[in-house]
Amino acid sequence: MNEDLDNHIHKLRLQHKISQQELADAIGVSRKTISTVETGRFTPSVVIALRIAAYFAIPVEQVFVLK
Amino acid sequence: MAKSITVLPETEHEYLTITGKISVVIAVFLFAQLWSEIVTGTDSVVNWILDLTLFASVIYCIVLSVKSMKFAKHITRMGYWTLKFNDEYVDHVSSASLRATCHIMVVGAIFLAYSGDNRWFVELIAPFGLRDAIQMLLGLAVATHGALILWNLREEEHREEEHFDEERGEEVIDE
Repeated sequence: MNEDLDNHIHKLRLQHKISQQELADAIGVSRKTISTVETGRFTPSVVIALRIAAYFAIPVEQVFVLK
Repeated sequence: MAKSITVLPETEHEYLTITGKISVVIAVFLFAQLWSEIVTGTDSVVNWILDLTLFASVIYCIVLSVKSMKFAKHITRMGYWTLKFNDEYVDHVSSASLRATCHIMVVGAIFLAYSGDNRWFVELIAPFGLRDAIQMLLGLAVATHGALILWNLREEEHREEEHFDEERGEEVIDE
């Protein structure tokens, strides 16, 4: 668990009304990856971070923030 | 030219789970074999149970190995042989378990290489010999490998079950 990193994936998903599975399918990862990233138990690579940001069409800094 | 295949994250997850189970079964076999060496000759129920455990673990290991062979066409060669996966979480679980296994093997091997024939150590592990100690180390390493994989994957499933919102089909985060 990364104590320095926070993310807004859950909020963004609610805004876009999509499930973890839909987001996972869209960016080509497992639902477990999304689930663990969202809850902060797993820190994703830059590639996944950029893919998530690209999916929501926002800069990566608006998805992941340093605490 | 290498043939490219589309690898589903779920397929990698399933393959890693089977790998974890194989490791646990091998560990059970190794520990049962060690234990049977102590109780050998005694016509007891324990002996019969150990023989049954050895037989069952060999059969289960063969079944799982055959099952795992089916994944050769559905995941990358790197994933199949070296447990390097495309899905980040599956790869994270795989790497963490391999790292722990590697540390156990290295530390154990260094210890056995330098202290394996010391008198105090030989007396400590009696009636086992050095060969048995190596087998024990191997058993511990594969047990750790399998248990970490199964625990980490199962832990996530458990958490998802606990927090799964069936209406929306997603995990609920406790605020």
